[in-house]
Amino acid sequence: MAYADLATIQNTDPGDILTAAWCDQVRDNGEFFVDPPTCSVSGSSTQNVENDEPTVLTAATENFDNDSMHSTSSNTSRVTIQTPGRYLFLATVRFDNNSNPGIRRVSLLVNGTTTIGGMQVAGVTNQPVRIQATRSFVLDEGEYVEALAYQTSTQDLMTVNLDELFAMFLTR
Amino acid sequence: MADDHDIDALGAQYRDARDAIATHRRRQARAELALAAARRRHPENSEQVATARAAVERAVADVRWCQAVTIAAGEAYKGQSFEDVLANQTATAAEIRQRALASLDAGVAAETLEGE
Repeated sequence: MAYADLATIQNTDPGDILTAAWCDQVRDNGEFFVDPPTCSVSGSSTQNVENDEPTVLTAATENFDNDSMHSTSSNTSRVTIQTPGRYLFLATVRFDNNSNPGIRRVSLLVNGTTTIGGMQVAGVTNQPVRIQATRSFVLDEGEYVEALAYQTSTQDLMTVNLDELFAMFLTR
Repeated sequence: MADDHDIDALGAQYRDARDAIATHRRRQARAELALAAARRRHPENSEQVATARAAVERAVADVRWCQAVTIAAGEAYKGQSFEDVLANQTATAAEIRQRALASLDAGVAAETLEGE
Protein backbone atom coordinates (compact mmCIF):
# COMPACT_ATOMS: atom_id res chain seq x y z
CA MET A 1 0.00 0.00 0.00
CA ALA A 2 1.08 3.54 -0.57
CA TYR A 3 3.08 5.84 1.63
CA ALA A 4 1.21 8.71 3.29
CA ASP A 5 2.46 11.55 5.48
CA LEU A 6 1.45 10.55 9.00
CA ALA A 7 0.75 14.16 9.93
CA THR A 8 -2.06 14.18 7.37
CA ILE A 9 -3.67 11.17 9.00
CA GLN A 10 -3.62 12.58 12.51
CA ASN A 11 -1.79 15.72 13.52
CA THR A 12 -0.97 14.87 17.10
CA ASP A 13 -0.43 17.19 20.04
CA PRO A 14 1.13 16.18 23.36
CA GLY A 15 -1.43 14.29 25.41
CA ASP A 16 -3.46 13.17 22.39
CA ILE A 17 -4.44 9.56 21.94
CA LEU A 18 -2.99 7.74 18.93
CA THR A 19 -5.70 6.39 16.67
CA ALA A 20 -5.72 2.97 15.05
CA ALA A 21 -5.82 4.78 11.70
CA TRP A 22 -2.48 6.45 12.47
CA CYS A 23 -0.96 3.16 13.62
CA ASP A 24 -2.21 1.36 10.51
CA GLN A 25 -0.61 4.01 8.33
CA VAL A 26 2.69 3.55 10.21
CA ARG A 27 2.52 -0.11 9.21
CA ASP A 28 1.67 0.70 5.59
CA ASN A 29 4.54 3.17 5.42
CA GLY A 30 6.89 0.53 6.79
CA GLU A 31 5.72 -1.93 4.16
CA PHE A 32 6.24 0.68 1.48
CA PHE A 33 9.89 1.13 2.45
CA VAL A 34 10.48 -2.60 2.80
CA ASP A 35 8.97 -3.32 -0.60
CA PRO A 36 9.09 -0.09 -2.65
CA PRO A 37 7.69 0.03 -6.18
CA THR A 38 9.70 -2.15 -8.54
CA CYS A 39 9.11 -3.96 -11.79
CA SER A 40 10.98 -6.42 -14.01
CA VAL A 41 9.71 -7.52 -17.43
CA SER A 42 11.22 -9.24 -20.43
CA GLY A 43 10.49 -10.18 -24.00
CA SER A 44 9.02 -13.64 -24.47
CA SER A 45 10.51 -14.07 -27.94
CA THR A 46 12.98 -12.47 -30.30
CA GLN A 47 11.93 -9.41 -32.21
CA ASN A 48 12.86 -7.91 -35.55
CA VAL A 49 14.84 -4.68 -35.52
CA GLU A 50 15.23 -3.19 -38.96
CA ASN A 51 18.47 -1.66 -40.10
CA ASP A 52 18.85 1.99 -39.02
CA GLU A 53 15.36 1.98 -37.46
CA PRO A 54 15.04 2.55 -33.69
CA THR A 55 12.59 -0.05 -32.44
CA VAL A 56 10.64 -0.25 -29.18
CA LEU A 57 10.97 -3.70 -27.66
CA THR A 58 7.89 -5.42 -26.29
CA ALA A 59 7.84 -7.23 -22.96
CA ALA A 60 5.15 -9.86 -22.77
CA THR A 61 6.65 -11.61 -19.75
CA GLU A 62 6.49 -10.24 -16.23
CA ASN A 63 9.10 -11.29 -13.68
CA PHE A 64 7.74 -9.17 -10.86
CA ASP A 65 5.71 -6.01 -10.47
CA ASN A 66 4.42 -4.78 -7.11
CA ASP A 67 2.82 -1.49 -8.16
CA SER A 68 0.82 -2.26 -11.31
CA MET A 69 3.54 -0.72 -13.46
CA HIS A 70 3.21 -3.16 -16.34
CA SER A 71 0.35 -4.73 -18.28
CA THR A 72 0.64 -8.04 -20.08
CA SER A 73 -2.36 -7.27 -22.26
CA SER A 74 -1.90 -3.72 -23.49
CA ASN A 75 1.15 -1.58 -24.32
CA THR A 76 3.41 -4.34 -23.04
CA SER A 77 6.55 -2.37 -23.89
CA ARG A 78 5.78 0.18 -21.19
CA VAL A 79 6.76 0.39 -17.56
CA THR A 80 4.42 3.06 -16.20
CA ILE A 81 5.01 4.99 -13.01
CA GLN A 82 2.17 4.82 -10.48
CA THR A 83 4.15 6.30 -7.57
CA PRO A 84 6.01 9.55 -8.36
CA GLY A 85 9.67 9.63 -7.45
CA ARG A 86 13.24 9.02 -8.55
CA TYR A 87 13.72 5.73 -10.37
CA LEU A 88 16.59 3.63 -11.61
CA PHE A 89 15.99 1.95 -14.97
CA LEU A 90 17.99 -0.83 -16.60
CA ALA A 91 17.38 -2.32 -20.03
CA THR A 92 19.38 -5.37 -21.10
CA VAL A 93 19.19 -6.38 -24.77
CA ARG A 94 20.72 -9.26 -26.68
CA PHE A 95 21.57 -9.02 -30.38
CA ASP A 96 22.25 -12.56 -31.63
CA ASN A 97 24.94 -13.63 -34.12
CA ASN A 98 25.08 -11.68 -37.33
CA SER A 99 27.50 -11.73 -40.22
CA ASN A 100 27.58 -7.95 -40.52
CA PRO A 101 29.13 -5.58 -37.98
CA GLY A 102 27.87 -2.03 -37.52
CA ILE A 103 26.44 -0.38 -34.45
CA ARG A 104 24.39 -2.06 -31.71
CA ARG A 105 22.64 0.32 -29.33
CA VAL A 106 20.13 0.21 -26.49
CA SER A 107 18.43 3.35 -25.17
CA LEU A 108 15.53 4.24 -22.90
CA LEU A 109 12.52 6.01 -24.35
CA VAL A 110 10.53 8.23 -21.98
CA ASN A 111 6.83 8.86 -22.68
CA GLY A 112 7.29 7.68 -26.24
CA THR A 113 9.12 10.84 -27.25
CA THR A 114 12.39 11.42 -25.39
CA THR A 115 15.26 9.08 -26.15
CA ILE A 116 17.84 8.79 -23.40
CA GLY A 117 21.09 7.21 -24.54
CA GLY A 118 22.21 4.07 -22.81
CA MET A 119 24.97 2.02 -24.40
CA GLN A 120 26.36 1.69 -27.91
CA VAL A 121 28.98 -0.73 -29.13
CA ALA A 122 30.43 -1.84 -32.43
CA GLY A 123 29.12 -5.17 -33.60
CA VAL A 124 31.51 -8.07 -34.13
CA THR A 125 31.03 -10.40 -37.10
CA ASN A 126 29.27 -13.62 -36.13
CA GLN A 127 29.32 -12.77 -32.43
CA PRO A 128 26.29 -12.10 -30.24
CA VAL A 129 26.17 -8.80 -28.36
CA ARG A 130 24.48 -8.17 -25.02
CA ILE A 131 24.41 -4.56 -23.82
CA GLN A 132 22.66 -2.63 -21.08
CA ALA A 133 21.31 0.88 -20.63
CA THR A 134 21.28 2.20 -17.06
CA ARG A 135 19.79 5.61 -16.24
CA SER A 136 17.97 7.37 -13.43
CA PHE A 137 14.86 9.48 -13.90
CA VAL A 138 12.53 11.68 -11.91
CA LEU A 139 9.11 10.58 -13.06
CA ASP A 140 5.55 11.57 -12.26
CA GLU A 141 2.56 9.27 -12.13
CA GLY A 142 1.41 8.12 -15.56
CA GLU A 143 4.80 8.65 -17.21
CA TYR A 144 6.35 5.59 -18.80
CA VAL A 145 9.65 4.19 -20.03
CA GLU A 146 10.39 1.70 -22.82
CA ALA A 147 13.51 -0.02 -24.11
CA LEU A 148 14.67 1.06 -27.55
CA ALA A 149 16.97 -1.05 -29.75
CA TYR A 150 18.96 0.20 -32.74
CA GLN A 151 21.40 -1.40 -35.14
CA THR A 152 23.17 -0.63 -38.41
CA SER A 153 24.25 -4.03 -39.67
CA THR A 154 22.79 -3.07 -43.09
CA GLN A 155 20.18 -5.80 -42.76
CA ASP A 156 17.16 -6.45 -40.57
CA LEU A 157 17.92 -8.48 -37.48
CA MET A 158 15.18 -10.91 -36.54
CA THR A 159 16.93 -12.03 -33.40
CA VAL A 160 16.89 -9.17 -30.93
CA ASN A 161 15.61 -9.99 -27.48
CA LEU A 162 14.77 -7.86 -24.47
CA ASP A 163 16.42 -9.80 -21.65
CA GLU A 164 15.07 -7.44 -19.02
CA LEU A 165 13.58 -4.01 -18.51
CA PHE A 166 13.89 -3.22 -14.82
CA ALA A 167 12.67 -0.28 -12.75
CA MET A 168 13.35 0.43 -9.09
CA PHE A 169 11.96 3.23 -6.94
CA LEU A 170 14.78 5.13 -5.25
CA THR A 171 13.29 7.99 -3.26
CA ARG A 172 10.33 10.32 -3.25
CA MET B 1 -14.87 1.67 -14.41
CA ALA B 2 -12.45 2.28 -17.23
CA ASP B 3 -12.53 0.51 -20.55
CA ASP B 4 -10.63 -2.77 -20.25
CA HIS B 5 -8.17 -1.70 -22.93
CA ASP B 6 -7.61 1.89 -21.86
CA ILE B 7 -4.38 1.42 -19.96
CA ASP B 8 -4.04 5.10 -19.02
CA ALA B 9 -7.53 5.18 -17.53
CA LEU B 10 -6.94 1.89 -15.72
CA GLY B 11 -3.71 3.24 -14.26
CA ALA B 12 -5.46 6.39 -13.06
CA GLN B 13 -8.16 4.23 -11.53
CA TYR B 14 -5.56 2.21 -9.64
CA ARG B 15 -3.93 5.36 -8.30
CA ASP B 16 -7.28 6.88 -7.31
CA ALA B 17 -8.22 3.74 -5.40
CA ARG B 18 -4.86 3.69 -3.65
CA ASP B 19 -5.09 7.38 -2.72
CA ALA B 20 -8.62 6.84 -1.42
CA ILE B 21 -7.21 4.55 1.27
CA ALA B 22 -5.41 7.46 2.92
CA THR B 23 -8.42 9.70 2.43
CA HIS B 24 -10.69 7.27 4.25
CA ARG B 25 -8.02 6.64 6.87
CA ARG B 26 -8.00 10.37 7.70
CA ARG B 27 -11.74 10.17 8.18
CA GLN B 28 -11.27 7.10 10.35
CA ALA B 29 -8.82 9.02 12.55
CA ARG B 30 -11.33 11.84 12.98
CA ALA B 31 -14.06 9.34 13.82
CA GLU B 32 -11.84 7.62 16.39
CA LEU B 33 -11.04 10.93 18.08
CA ALA B 34 -14.74 11.77 18.11
CA LEU B 35 -15.46 8.43 19.75
CA ALA B 36 -12.83 9.08 22.42
CA ALA B 37 -14.36 12.47 23.09
CA ALA B 38 -17.85 10.99 23.29
CA ARG B 39 -16.64 8.43 25.81
CA ARG B 40 -15.23 11.17 27.99
CA ARG B 41 -18.48 13.10 27.97
CA HIS B 42 -21.11 10.39 27.96
CA PRO B 43 -21.75 6.97 29.49
CA GLU B 44 -20.48 3.98 27.54
CA ASN B 45 -24.02 2.80 26.77
CA SER B 46 -25.25 6.22 25.69
CA GLU B 47 -26.64 7.01 22.27
CA GLN B 48 -23.84 9.49 21.64
CA VAL B 49 -21.18 6.84 22.15
CA ALA B 50 -23.09 4.32 20.04
CA THR B 51 -23.36 6.82 17.22
CA ALA B 52 -19.66 7.65 17.38
CA ARG B 53 -18.74 3.97 17.47
CA ALA B 54 -20.87 3.29 14.41
CA ALA B 55 -19.08 6.07 12.56
CA VAL B 56 -15.72 4.46 13.37
CA GLU B 57 -16.94 1.08 12.13
CA ARG B 58 -18.13 2.62 8.87
CA ALA B 59 -14.82 4.41 8.39
CA VAL B 60 -12.84 1.21 8.99
CA ALA B 61 -15.07 -0.63 6.51
CA ASP B 62 -14.48 2.10 3.94
CA VAL B 63 -10.69 1.81 4.35
CA ARG B 64 -10.86 -1.94 3.86
CA TRP B 65 -13.11 -1.52 0.88
CA CYS B 66 -10.65 0.86 -0.77
CA GLN B 67 -7.82 -1.61 -0.09
CA ALA B 68 -9.82 -4.30 -1.89
CA VAL B 69 -10.62 -1.96 -4.78
CA THR B 70 -6.94 -1.06 -5.10
CA ILE B 71 -6.02 -4.72 -5.48
CA ALA B 72 -8.81 -5.31 -7.99
CA ALA B 73 -7.90 -2.20 -10.00
CA GLY B 74 -4.26 -3.29 -10.04
CA GLU B 75 -5.22 -6.69 -11.42
CA ALA B 76 -7.44 -5.06 -14.02
CA TYR B 77 -4.54 -2.84 -15.09
CA LYS B 78 -2.33 -5.87 -15.49
CA GLY B 79 -4.76 -7.46 -17.91
CA GLN B 80 -7.28 -9.38 -15.86
CA SER B 81 -10.90 -8.51 -16.46
CA PHE B 82 -12.77 -6.97 -13.57
CA GLU B 83 -15.31 -9.79 -13.80
CA ASP B 84 -12.55 -12.38 -13.35
CA VAL B 85 -11.12 -10.55 -10.36
CA LEU B 86 -14.53 -10.68 -8.75
CA ALA B 87 -15.44 -14.16 -9.90
CA ASN B 88 -15.57 -15.58 -6.40
CA GLN B 89 -17.41 -12.68 -4.88
CA THR B 90 -21.11 -12.76 -4.15
CA ALA B 91 -21.77 -9.23 -5.36
CA THR B 92 -22.30 -8.69 -9.04
CA ALA B 93 -19.68 -6.82 -11.02
CA ALA B 94 -22.17 -3.99 -11.55
CA GLU B 95 -22.71 -3.64 -7.80
CA ILE B 96 -19.00 -3.68 -7.16
CA ARG B 97 -18.42 -1.03 -9.81
CA GLN B 98 -21.08 1.21 -8.32
CA ARG B 99 -19.64 0.95 -4.86
CA ALA B 100 -16.08 1.38 -6.12
CA LEU B 101 -16.96 4.58 -7.91
CA ALA B 102 -18.75 5.85 -4.81
CA SER B 103 -15.71 5.14 -2.67
CA LEU B 104 -13.49 7.06 -5.05
CA ASP B 105 -15.71 10.10 -5.00
CA ALA B 106 -13.46 13.10 -4.39
CA GLY B 107 -13.72 14.74 -1.02
CA VAL B 108 -15.36 11.68 0.45
CA ALA B 109 -18.74 13.18 -0.26
CA ALA B 110 -20.35 10.01 0.93
CA GLU B 111 -19.57 9.70 4.59
CA THR B 112 -20.37 6.03 4.33
CA LEU B 113 -20.82 3.62 1.49
CA GLU B 114 -24.24 2.23 0.95
CA GLY B 115 -24.63 -1.20 2.36
CA GLU B 116 -21.68 -0.90 4.74
